[in-house]
Amino acid sequence: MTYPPEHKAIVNALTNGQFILYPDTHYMVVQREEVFYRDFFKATFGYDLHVRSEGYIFLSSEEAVEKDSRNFLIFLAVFCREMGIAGRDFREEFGIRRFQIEEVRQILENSSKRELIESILGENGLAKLLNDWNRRRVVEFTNAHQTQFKFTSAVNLFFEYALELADMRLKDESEFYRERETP
Amino acid sequence: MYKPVTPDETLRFMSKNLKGLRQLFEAGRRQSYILEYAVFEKICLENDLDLGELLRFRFVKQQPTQDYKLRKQYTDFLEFLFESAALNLPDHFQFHAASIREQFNKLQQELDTAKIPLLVTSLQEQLDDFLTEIDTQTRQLLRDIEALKASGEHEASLHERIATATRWLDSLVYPLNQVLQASTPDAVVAQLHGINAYAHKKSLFETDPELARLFRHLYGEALRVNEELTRLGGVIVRELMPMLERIRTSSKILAGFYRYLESMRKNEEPDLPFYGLLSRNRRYSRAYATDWMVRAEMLLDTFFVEREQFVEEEVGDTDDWLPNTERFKNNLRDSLPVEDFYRWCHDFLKTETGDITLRKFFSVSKLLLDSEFEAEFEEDSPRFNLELTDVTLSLPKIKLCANDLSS
Repeated sequence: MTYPPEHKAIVNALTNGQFILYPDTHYMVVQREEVFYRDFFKATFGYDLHVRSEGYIFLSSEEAVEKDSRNFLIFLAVFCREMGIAGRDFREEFGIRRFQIEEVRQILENSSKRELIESILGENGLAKLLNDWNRRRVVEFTNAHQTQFKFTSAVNLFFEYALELADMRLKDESEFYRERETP
Repeated sequence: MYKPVTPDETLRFMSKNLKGLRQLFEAGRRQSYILEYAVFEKICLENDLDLGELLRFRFVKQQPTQDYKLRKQYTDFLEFLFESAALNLPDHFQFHAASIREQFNKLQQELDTAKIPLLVTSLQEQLDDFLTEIDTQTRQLLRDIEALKASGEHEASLHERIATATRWLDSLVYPLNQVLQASTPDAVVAQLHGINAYAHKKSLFETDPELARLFRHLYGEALRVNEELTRLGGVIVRELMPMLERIRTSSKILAGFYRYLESMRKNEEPDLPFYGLLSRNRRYSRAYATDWMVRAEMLLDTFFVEREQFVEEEVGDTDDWLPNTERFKNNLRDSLPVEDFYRWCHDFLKTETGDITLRKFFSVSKLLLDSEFEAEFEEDSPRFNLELTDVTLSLPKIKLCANDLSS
């Protein structure tokens, strides 16, 4: 069989933990050859390919151990929490806005979860964290000085996870009440 | 004595007590405008409302249960004034839609022309009521959703928000939409089309001019109601549903995040593991690139070009001369015993060459170890310096004798 010309770049990007985003050519290629790539990554590396209709593609592995996602989830959870408390629609803003790093830093500093954030970020950690996730393409710096960024569609993966967590809890609670009601 | 109430008296009464009336209205809004006695009393007391007046203006009536109910005529008016309405359950609309259908059937089947004007007016009113209710409901939902949206999302209120959004969606918005979008022959939209066509035909072919006029009105009313319902249907689908869905989803995401933070705080693994994302360079990390040699060569070729240097080899005279050890040994043997061996060596070499180097000196002084001779050395004798061409040696004074044992 013949591989698409972008094959090597696709495999390199995905195995390096990068997200492939719509409307990149790579996205179109993987989407078109989804069945092939699903088999390819599973058979070659044992990785699972995820193609999401919201416009992002990534690989996951059951054996992968990394702390990056945990730290990013904490950052995102606290940031969204603060926006929610302030009555801001975080999903709308994530979709259209560019954030100044300084602005985000201040929001986090004023949070009651500040200690948790500091424990994962450390000195100059926010810029580093954003830099790491810029490389993965979950955020994107929007100016040359890297003081401003926006979230890409890949951030929806973290929302999706939070939704699943919430659904689990709602399910648990309704089961709890049902059990209580039945004598 | 019964004293009739005039319309301007009623309006004056309402205007004077509007604050208190509004409180009664708001308190009863979500419970069919029935207020428990205690609540009713309290609001009246706080606002100086006189029960006698309220009854005289027929604002309230007492239920057999002692509770008070606000009169519909007033509550309708206040709903209009305050743009605030109680939300009706969809059954209510379905019931309403059914009565429109029934009224329309009656009209079509009625043969007695004398009864037709009443039936037409009644159907027109039904249509208008139905539209007003849907319109009020939609506006109220929009306002309530805006309020829900604007309220800050604290952890404590999240579950309530999710529950409210879910309840409104499932029991109000979706069914309301269903009433409006239904495509069965019984559905309101189909009924309206039927009424429309029927009224249009009648208005054209009715010979009685009075009846023709009535049908023309009905036709106009059905047309207006249809247009308005289409517009409201659009508002529900394009605004209400997405807004509520959005609030519900956002609140759920936040609730999920709270749950995650909670497990982090307790240092526990979350109930659901996140995807094992791959780390950077996990698989392809190498200490060097595959093309390192080519790159290194290019680097060296490009940046490390050294100027050509010519080194001329110095061609000098080398002093290969070494003393004749045999001759030296014979001389030494003849001179025995020698009091100061090293100086003797030096003096001997001086007779042979002007240039006494260390190499030449050692070539003769090594005879010290020859088994033919025996060296004697006084530990406390002072050392002396011997200057050679290339070094200065510090040497002890050594006496050399013939070794009797060796011969």
